[in-house]
Amino acid sequence: MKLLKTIFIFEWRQLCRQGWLLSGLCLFLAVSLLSVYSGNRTVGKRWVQADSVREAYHKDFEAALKRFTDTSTSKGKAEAKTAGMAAVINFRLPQHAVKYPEPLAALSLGLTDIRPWHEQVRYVKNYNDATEMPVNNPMTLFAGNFDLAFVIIYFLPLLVLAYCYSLYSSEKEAGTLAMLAVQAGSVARVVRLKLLFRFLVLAALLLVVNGLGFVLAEKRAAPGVPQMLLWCLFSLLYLLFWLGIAYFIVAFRQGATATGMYLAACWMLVLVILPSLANTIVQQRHSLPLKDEIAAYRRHQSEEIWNTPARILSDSFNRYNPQYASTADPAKDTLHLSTRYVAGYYDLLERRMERVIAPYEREIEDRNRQLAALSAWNPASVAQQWLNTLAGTELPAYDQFSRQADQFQRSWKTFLYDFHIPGKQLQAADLERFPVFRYQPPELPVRGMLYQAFMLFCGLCVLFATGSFVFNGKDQAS
Amino acid sequence: MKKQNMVLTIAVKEVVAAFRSRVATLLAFITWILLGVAVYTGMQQEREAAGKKSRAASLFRHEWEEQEANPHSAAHFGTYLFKPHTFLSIYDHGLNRFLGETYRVEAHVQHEVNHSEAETAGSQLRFGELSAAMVFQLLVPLLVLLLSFNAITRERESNTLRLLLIQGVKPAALIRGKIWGIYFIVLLVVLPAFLLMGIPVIVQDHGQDALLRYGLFTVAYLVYFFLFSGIGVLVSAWSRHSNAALIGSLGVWFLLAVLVPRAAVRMIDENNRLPSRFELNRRIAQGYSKGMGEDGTSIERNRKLLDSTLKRYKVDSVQQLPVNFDGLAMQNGEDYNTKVYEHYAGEVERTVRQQQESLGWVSFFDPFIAVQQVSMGVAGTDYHHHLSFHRQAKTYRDEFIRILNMDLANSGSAYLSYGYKAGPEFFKKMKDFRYNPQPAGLAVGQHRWSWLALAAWCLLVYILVNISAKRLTNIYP
Amino acid sequence: MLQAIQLTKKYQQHTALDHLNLEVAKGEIFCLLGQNGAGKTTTINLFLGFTAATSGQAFVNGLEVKPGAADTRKFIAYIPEVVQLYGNLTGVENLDFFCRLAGFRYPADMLKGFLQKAGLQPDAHARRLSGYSKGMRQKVGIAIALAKNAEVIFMDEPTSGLDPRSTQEFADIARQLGSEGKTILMATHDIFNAVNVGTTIGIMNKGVLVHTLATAGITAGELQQLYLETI
Repeated sequence: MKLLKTIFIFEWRQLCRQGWLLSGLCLFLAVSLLSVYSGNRTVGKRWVQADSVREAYHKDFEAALKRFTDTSTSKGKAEAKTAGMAAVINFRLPQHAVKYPEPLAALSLGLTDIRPWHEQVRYVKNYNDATEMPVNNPMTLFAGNFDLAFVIIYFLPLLVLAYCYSLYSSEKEAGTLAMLAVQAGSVARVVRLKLLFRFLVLAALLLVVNGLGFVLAEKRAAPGVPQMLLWCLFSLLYLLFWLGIAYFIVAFRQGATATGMYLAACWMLVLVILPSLANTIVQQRHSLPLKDEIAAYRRHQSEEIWNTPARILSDSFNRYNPQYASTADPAKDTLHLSTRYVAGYYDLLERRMERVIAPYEREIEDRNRQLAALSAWNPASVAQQWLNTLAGTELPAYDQFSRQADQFQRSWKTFLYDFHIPGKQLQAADLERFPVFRYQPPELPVRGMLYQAFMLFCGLCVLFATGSFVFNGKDQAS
Repeated sequence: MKKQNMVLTIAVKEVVAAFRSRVATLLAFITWILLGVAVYTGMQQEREAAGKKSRAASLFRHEWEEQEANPHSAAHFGTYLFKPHTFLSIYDHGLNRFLGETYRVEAHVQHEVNHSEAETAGSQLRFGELSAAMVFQLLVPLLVLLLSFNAITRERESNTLRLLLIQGVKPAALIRGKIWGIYFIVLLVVLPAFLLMGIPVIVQDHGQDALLRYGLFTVAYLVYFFLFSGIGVLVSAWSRHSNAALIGSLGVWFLLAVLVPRAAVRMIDENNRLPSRFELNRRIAQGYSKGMGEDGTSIERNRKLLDSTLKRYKVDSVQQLPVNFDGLAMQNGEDYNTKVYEHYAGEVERTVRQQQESLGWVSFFDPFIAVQQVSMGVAGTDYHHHLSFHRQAKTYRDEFIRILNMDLANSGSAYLSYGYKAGPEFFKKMKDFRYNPQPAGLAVGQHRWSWLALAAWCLLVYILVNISAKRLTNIYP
Repeated sequence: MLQAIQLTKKYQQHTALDHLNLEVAKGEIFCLLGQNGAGKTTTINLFLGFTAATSGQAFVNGLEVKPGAADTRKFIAYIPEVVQLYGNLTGVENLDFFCRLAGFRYPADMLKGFLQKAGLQPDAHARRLSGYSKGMRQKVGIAIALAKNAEVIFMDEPTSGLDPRSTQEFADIARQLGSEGKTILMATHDIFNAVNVGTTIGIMNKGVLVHTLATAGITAGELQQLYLETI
C-alpha cells in the first residue's frame, strides 16, 4: 500500500512535469470535442431533414383536407368530388416512415449516412430501394465517420501506446532498475503499479470525455441510463484491452523504441489489417449477388401478370383477400383496368416477388453473419459494433426500421383498401384515423452485450496473466 | 562532386545497416505478403464480378432482342447496363464498394447507378478492405516512418553525430543522405512489387491508356514514399531522443493518414450540404408535375404540344394526325423529365464536384489525401469515373427511349391503341451500350490539385531539409 | 595551433566559460584538468564549433572558428567520451564510412593499417562493433583521427571507464601522436593520466583557467596537491 502511494505520488509528479504527456491528454480531449461537434452537425442535419419530411406532409395533409371543404370555385367543386377517393389520397398524401436519430446517435454515427432512414409509403409496395437511399458523396462514405466512437476506437490506443511504451525501458535507460529492485523488491511490481496509475488517468479522461459527449450530443430526449452505463463499460474495457496489449509487450523488456514499434504494429494489425482482411475474406467467399435475376424476374412477371385476363386477376385477388369478397361485383371487376384487376396485379406481383427476394436477403444475412462471426474475435470491431448498437445506428436497428416500415406499408394498404376496393370515398374525418408510424428500436441485447463483455474481460485476464508470467520469468532470468 | 559523394556515402551506409539489422528484410516481408494477398483477392473478386456482369449483360441483351412487344411496353421492360471496371481497380478499389454498378433503363424514370455493396453491409466494412492501394497508402508510410524515426536521433545518442560533423559533413548533406538511404531501402522493397504488378498490365494488353495509367499510379506512390522518407528523417532531426522521435512519427502518421482525412471530408461535407433523398425526389416530382419556371403543369405542357402538332399538320383532332400522338407526347414528357432531372440532380452533382474540389485543396495539407485522390483517379475508381459512366448510360438511355417513342409515333398505329407490336428485327437494330473509357489525361486533370499537392510537398520537404539542418549545427544550444 | 582569446560562454544566468585565454603550440599535448562543470567540455565544444561563443574568439590553425563552419574542421579530429559508432558495422566499415565522409577513400589494407596503428588487434577488424569493448571502440575513434591526418585532435575524457592496460595503451598512442607533430587538446579529471600523457596542464575551476604549467618539472603528487588547493 505504501509502495502504491509512493509510486502514484511520483507518477503524478512526472505527469505534471512532462509537458508532452499533458498535451497528449489535452489533444485527446480537444479531438474528442471536435468529433462530438462533427457528429452533432451530421445528426443536426438529419433532424432538419426529418423535420422537413414532417412539414411537407403537414402541408400536403392540410391541402388534402381543404379539398374536402373548398367549394368556392368551380375547380374546387370538381376537386371536392375526388378528394375522398382512396387512389387520390394514396397519390397525394403518401405516408412517411421515419427513423429519427436516437439520443446517442451523434456519438457513434454507424450506418447513419448510408442506410435509408425514411420511407415513403403507398398502398403499392416500392421495391426500388434506391428511391430511399440517402444522397451522398461516396467519398464521405469511404472516408468513414468522424465521431466520438472513432476517437475512442482509433485514437485512444495510440494514447495508450504513447503513455506506456517506455513503462519499463525508461527505468532501464535512467539506470534505476537495480535500485528499484533493491528498494521495492520487484521491478515487475513497480511497473504494474505504474500501469495502474496510467489506467486510472486514462480511464478518468475517458469518462470525462464520455460524460461531455452525453451532455453535448445533439438529441431530443435524454439518453437511457443503461445505454450510458454500457457505453462507459465498453469504452473502459476497450481501454483495458489496449493496456493489456501494452503490458504484454512491455513484459518482454525491450528498449523503448522496440516496444513502441511493436505497439504500433499491434495498432496496425488490430485496427487495419485484421478488419480489412475479414472484409476481404467474406467478400471473397460470398460475393454480392448482382440482383440481376430479381430484376429479370420482376420484368417478366409484371408483363405476364399484366397480360393475364382480368377475370383471373380479380379472382386471384378475391381468393387471397377474402375480407373484400362481400363487395365483389364480377361484372365490373372483370373489366380490363378495373380496381380489382389492378389490385390483383400488384397483389400477385408482390407475392411472387417475395419468393425471389427472400433467398437474396438470406444470402446477404448469411454474409453479414459470417462477417460478424469473424470480427467477433477483434475487440476493436466488437467495440465499434456495440457503440453503434447503443447509439441505434448498427445494422439491426436499420433492419428493424425497414421491417417496421414494411409493416406500416401493409397497415396503410389495409386502411386504404377498405375504401379503395369497395369504391367508397373517405370522409374528412377519416383523415384523422390514419395509421401512424412510430419506430420502435430493437430491444437492447443487454444479456448478449454483458456476456461478450464478460468474455472480453476473461480474455483480458488471460492477457494480463500471460504478461505477468513473461515479466516475472524475465525477472528470474536476469 | 565531393558533396555528392557525401550524400551517397551516408545513403549507402544507411541501406547496409538497415539490412544488417534485418529491419528492412522484415519490412519487405510484411509488405510483400500483404500485397500478395491484396492483389490475389483483388484479381479473384474482379474476375468474378466481371463474369457476373457480362453474363447478366448478355442475358438482358438477349431478352431485349428476342421480344415481340409494343415499343412503349418495351420501354417499360427496358434493360440494364453494368458499369465496367478498369483493370487498375484490382489494385485500388477506391470508391467501388460505395458506388452502384447497375443502371436501369426504363421509360418515364431517370435512374441513378444503384446497388452498392455498402448499402447491405454493417459498419464493419468501414474499417476498410485489403487492397494494394491500402497497403501503399497506410502501411508502407508507417513502415517507412518506423525505419526512419531514429535516423538522426541514433547518431545523436551514440555521439556519432559529432564525429560526422567533425569529418566535415554538412548537416543538410547528412539529412539528404539519410533521406535517400531510407528511400533507397523503400525502393528495394516496393520496386519489385510494382514491376510484378505491372506484368499483367503489359501481358494482358489492356491498351496504351492502361499502361499510362499504371505508370502514373507507380509514379504517384513513389513520390508519396519519398515524402514519408523525408518526413520521417525530418521528425528525427527535430527530436532530441529516439523515443520522442518515435512518438512524433507515429503522431504525424496518425494525423496525416487517419485523423485529417476523416475530419476534413466530414467538414467539407457539412459545408457543402447535399439535399436529403426525400427533398430531391420531391423537387424532381414537383418540377415535373408543376413545371419549372413558366413551363406550366404537365397537363398544360401536353396541351401545348397537342396544339402545336395539330397546327403543324393542319388538322383539328388527334385522330386525324398522320402520327401516333401518344409517341410524341411521351417523348415530350421524357424530354421534360430529363430537363427536370438534369436541373435538380445537376445541383447535387455540382455540390459533390465542389466537395471534390475542396478535397483537392485540402490535399495541400495532407499528402495522404493527395495520393488517395490521385490513385483513385488513375485507377478509375473515383467519383469522376463513376459520373462519366452515369452520363454515358444516361445519354444511351435517353436515346434508347427516344427511338422507341418515335417508332411508336411513326408506327401508323392509332392514338391510344396498344395493338401495334415490333419484333426482334427492330429491337436488334438498337445499338448495344458501349462504355467509352475516360482517357488517363482527363483523370489527371480532374485531380490536378492533388498532383500539384504532391509536388508541393516535395518542395516543402526540400525547404524543411535546409531549415532543419540549422538545428544540427548547434547541437548543444 | 590553437588559440582562445577572451573566450566566454554563458547559459542564461550561468557562466560556463569565463574569458578564457589559451594557446597550444604544434605538437603539444594540452590537458584540461578540472571537476565536472569546470568548463572543459565547453572549451572543446567551442573549438569544435558545436556551440557559439557568447563573446571572444577561438582559432584553429590561425582560422577563427565559426559555429558550423566547415573550414576549421578540415584540420581537426574528435574523440568523444563515449565512442559509440555503428554497432552493426565492422571496425573497418566504420572507419571506411567516416573516411569517405571526410573525403578520403583508402584501400582495405590501408584502413587496417590505421586500425593497427591505433592499437586494434587484426582479428577484431572484421568483427561488428557491437561486440567491441569500450577501449576497442576508442581505438577505432583514434584510427578515424589518424586516417583523417588531422592536425589537431580533441579528446573528451578519453580514459574514463578504461581498464589500466587500455589506459596505458592509450597514453602510448597519444604520446606518439604528439611526437609526430599532432596537437592534442584533452579534457580529463584523471590527474595521473594528465601527467603521464600531457606536455602542458591547465587547471580549470568554475569556467576559469586558474593555472597553466608544464608537466616536465612536476610529479603527480605535486599536481594533485595543487589541484586540490585550486578547487
